[in-house]
Amino acid sequence: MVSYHNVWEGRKHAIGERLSMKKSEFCDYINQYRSILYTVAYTILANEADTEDAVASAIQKGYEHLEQLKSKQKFKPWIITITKNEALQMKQKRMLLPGDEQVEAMLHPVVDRHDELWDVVQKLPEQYRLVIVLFYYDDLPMRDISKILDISLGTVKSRLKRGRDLLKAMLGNKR
Amino acid sequence: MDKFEKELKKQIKNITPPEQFQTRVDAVLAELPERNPYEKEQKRVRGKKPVVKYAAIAAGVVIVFFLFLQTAQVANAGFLEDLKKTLLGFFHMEKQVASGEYGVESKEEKVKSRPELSIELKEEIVDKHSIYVLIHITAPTDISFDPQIGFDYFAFCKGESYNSDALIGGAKDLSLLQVQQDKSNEATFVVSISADETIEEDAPVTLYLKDMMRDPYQEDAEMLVEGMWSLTFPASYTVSKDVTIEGSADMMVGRYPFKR
Repeated sequence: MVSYHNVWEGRKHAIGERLSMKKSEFCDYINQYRSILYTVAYTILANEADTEDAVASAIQKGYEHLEQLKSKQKFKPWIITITKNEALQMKQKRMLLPGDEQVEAMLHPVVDRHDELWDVVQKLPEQYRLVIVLFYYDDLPMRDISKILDISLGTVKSRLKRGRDLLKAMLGNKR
Repeated sequence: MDKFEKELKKQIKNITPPEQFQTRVDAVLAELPERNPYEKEQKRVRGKKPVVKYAAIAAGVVIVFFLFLQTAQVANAGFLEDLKKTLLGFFHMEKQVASGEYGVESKEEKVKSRPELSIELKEEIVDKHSIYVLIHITAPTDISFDPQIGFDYFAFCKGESYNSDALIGGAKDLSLLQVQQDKSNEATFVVSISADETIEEDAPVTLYLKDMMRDPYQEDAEMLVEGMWSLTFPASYTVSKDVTIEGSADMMVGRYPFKR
């Protein structure tokens, strides 16, 4: 039988573990994951300046709210989730009017530094784009992706399949 | 993974952040202040007083504190039926008891049953940015609850039914609180969210749970009971008040013996 005492002791241990993270350790974690944070934010925002702002904001927010982190093992999906949310909020704040996507593209043109594949990935509907990037870029387990995007595992699987099929079709058309 | 996927993976991994981004992140990290990770905990210990004003406790919530000794006692069977345990105490929020009385008000209980599993909403505590919900689950008799059991997916959303477009974003948690003594297929869980947005007072909120599983976050998760459950409740903010509870000499406050 699970006693409350055991649950409580486990929780105190987890609290102690995350409370003990100092700045240097936090920075080490961020340095490990800065590439995936960039990729997630860029996937949503599609311009460099906003991507920098979103990731910077996510890092600051994560540092301020370290108490929300349940354990150090969950740091990666946790900071990716914060970055995704910051990027989405930033996108909403752009106050796009209908038809303004073209204006946005002119103001903040996507710098075509990346290859053909990245351009095609950027053209995917957003719901598939993030799943594709998280799965293939960072080998994130589907369960972590479901937590980050706040969708069920079944939805992750179906979006991955659909995104993959769309990519194939789009790449096939390009050639 | 087929050839297309391997190529996709290879090309996506070639994407590297530009130098300007790296410089920006370096600057942000350098500007972060040094933190004393135990500052909040130390303040919590220093700030103990005989009478504590609660930040957010319902005027009508029944609160009984078990203040734990270093060797905490295991609660007797059925204590949740006799006593209501404060969710705030479970989450180790700063509380202190002295002496006094509590009002008791039972929230309307909501039960969602399927033949295989019953979920009962026992209590909720809500403020502008947090929701804590106590749920009691009765599973089929061949299931014994332990900390590895959870749900494939759970979420809070606005409205009276599950709506993926109205999800409340934030840091969520679902934890086993207590397994019923002598009935290992009955357990109480705490489901919580620290929301990114303000929770509208008195608006309906739905807790949605899908597929009870063992090790839900592992690739080899085991399905225990398949199904979906929605429990709706009003997000009524708990109201702060000064509350005192009659204490006894053998109670502990944090690590210190209780003193009248």
